[in-house]
Amino acid sequence: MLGTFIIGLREGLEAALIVGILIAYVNKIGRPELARRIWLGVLLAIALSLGVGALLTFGTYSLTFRAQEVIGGLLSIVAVGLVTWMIFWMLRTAHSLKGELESGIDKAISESGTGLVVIGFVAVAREGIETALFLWSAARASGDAPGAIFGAVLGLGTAVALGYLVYRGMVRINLAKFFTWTGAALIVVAAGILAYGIHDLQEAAILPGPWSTAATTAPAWMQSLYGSSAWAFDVSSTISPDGFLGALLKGTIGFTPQSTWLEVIAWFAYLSITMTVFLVLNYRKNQARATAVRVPQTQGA
Amino acid sequence: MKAAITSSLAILATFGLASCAESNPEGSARIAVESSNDACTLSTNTAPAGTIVFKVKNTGDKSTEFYMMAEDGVEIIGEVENIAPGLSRDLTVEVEAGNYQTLCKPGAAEDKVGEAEFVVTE
Repeated sequence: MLGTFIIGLREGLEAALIVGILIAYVNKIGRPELARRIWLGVLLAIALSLGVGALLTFGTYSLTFRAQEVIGGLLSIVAVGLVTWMIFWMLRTAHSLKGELESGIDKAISESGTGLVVIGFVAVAREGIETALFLWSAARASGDAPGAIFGAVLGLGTAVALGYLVYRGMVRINLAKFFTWTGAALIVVAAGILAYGIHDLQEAAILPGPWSTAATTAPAWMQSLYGSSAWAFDVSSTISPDGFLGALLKGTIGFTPQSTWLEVIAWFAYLSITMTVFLVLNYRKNQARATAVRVPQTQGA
Repeated sequence: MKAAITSSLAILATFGLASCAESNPEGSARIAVESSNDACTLSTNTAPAGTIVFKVKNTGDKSTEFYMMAEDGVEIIGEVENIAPGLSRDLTVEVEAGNYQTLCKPGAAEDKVGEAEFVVTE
């Protein structure tokens, strides 16, 4: 039961955090009705994943390993793109909130309406099929492991509860802090998802990694991305991948006890570039807003 | 934005269709695998080329993973993870004739258990 609990928690946490933050965001900008679009995407992804998972478990079709890795890997990278777009969209709309351009905001939001459905969908669908296959395998094993399905559902439930707690915490803090913290948190989560997507594509031997061999003519730096030299670190003896701590680290900052250089490089590059751009833009907007608020007051005095 | 939506839908559609058409376990070899804490036992270590379905059952007390590797032990032909204790999961692969390796990873750590040869015949 503990085994399935931890897998459920790990598979559900990232999606729960992203959805929690997005729902907090649309509530914060006074557009709670937009949460329905995110939920629509989430529900579509859950229904599709469970359906496909059931078809693969109980039907006559199956999904090859490579197809599953490619779906997971590419959807992860698409999710990173969408979440990044979302962060900068937040930044743009957030700071004109109290301004006079209300119609402009409404336009931006209605344009992004489909975007919100797709984000909700991709956030859940990227690991949805794997999670559904795991859930159905737990459901099917009721004779051998009666607690398995209970543990799996409890794990996913705990992930959702943690997402909800983040949502509650986010709703309470003040607006300026809210945008800084949600943006920064999403960037950290997205960096982890990017690394994970790269890992999937490495396992499928689409990107160079420990599971593929370099051409003998490749330059030395490229050779080092292949085979056993592709590993950056392995602390799986200290932080067990199937333990509770491992699940929490994986589900929040996307840390895997065993990472390849390509994962580490992509993680670091995405995090440093996106975070810098975000913090600079956020700072400038805050300054601009502070000035905009002060100017009318001085004129009025 | 539109491009992102279109591309993600295209990915889903392409692989959704491709993967469904790819394999039909009715006409394929089915091999039972038992992954315990210290062994990785297959009902047979040979199968004809084509679709092979490994039905992996975890009889140990740690979550496990099952791998089919190429002969070099580097390339992953197929992998199924998140097999909690007591659960069974399937790994479907499409393979050509040749020599391969099979192994389990109880605890999902790097310690390989029960590495063995697997022969795919014409």
